[in-house]
Amino acid sequence: MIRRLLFWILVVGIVGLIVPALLQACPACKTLDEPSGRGFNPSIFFMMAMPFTVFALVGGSVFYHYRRADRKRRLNEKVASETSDESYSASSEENS
Amino acid sequence: MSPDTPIGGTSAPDSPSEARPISNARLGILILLGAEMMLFSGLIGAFLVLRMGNITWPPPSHIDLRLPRAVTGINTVLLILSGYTMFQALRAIQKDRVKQLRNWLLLTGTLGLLFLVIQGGEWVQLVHNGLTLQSGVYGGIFYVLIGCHAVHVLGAVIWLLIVFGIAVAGRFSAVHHIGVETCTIYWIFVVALWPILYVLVYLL
Repeated sequence: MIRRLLFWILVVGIVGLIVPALLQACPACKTLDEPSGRGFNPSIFFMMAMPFTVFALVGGSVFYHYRRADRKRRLNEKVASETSDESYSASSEENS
Repeated sequence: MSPDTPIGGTSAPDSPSEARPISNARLGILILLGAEMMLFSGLIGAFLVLRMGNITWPPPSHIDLRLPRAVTGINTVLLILSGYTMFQALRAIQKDRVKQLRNWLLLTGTLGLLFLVIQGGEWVQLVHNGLTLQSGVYGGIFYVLIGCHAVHVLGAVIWLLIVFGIAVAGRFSAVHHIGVETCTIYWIFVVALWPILYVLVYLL
């Protein structure tokens, strides 16, 4: 199965090398020298980058909120444990 | 819902929703903004195809047409200023200054409306000069891109008026103000988007 798959990949690769025009599936690639083709290129790059930008911004914001909440929780725990330590030592001093 | 119920989903500090690192409302607005960014990126992508694909811009059919850059530049300053006033509104409610919140919200809404009125005036002038939605790709992409943003500003102004009404009713406080926060995030998105559109459509 794997050998057959590799064979067909090799065939497609060789055909692609011999006749590269066959691999130009995107119509914009064929018209790169024309004005319309020049218009498509920056647009494709821009729109290709946008999902990553959106994901980074939304994901980054969620990540930031999680980190901030975690830091806040740890700080609260630290303050609570210090307060309980102080009250414990004060009460033990009173008892003694 | 009782009149004292906080608006926008923020609940008491010891409730489970407050224990979450990010509130549902904030997460919702982030997802909405993600969708909005994709919508505008599609429109900007279409604009780039037409802009870069034409040797002359405006195209020969509108070669004499000049967009009102100076007036729109002033309008841009007004909108950016409204972003600052909206941010100040949020700062005010974070410090529990309800009266200041109302004033800042009112100022922001006024600036937003002023932006829309000036832009509407520009559009009337442009239509008189022959630039319509049907007059070609230039008019089509101009009105769709700038109009889409204007609809968003209008939506943000309506949202702001609702938030203002709630603020007048005195239902926001330093603890319960998620409604102001989400409105601020949306407003700042709309404000931040405009300079990009201004540079792309009016200056390039």
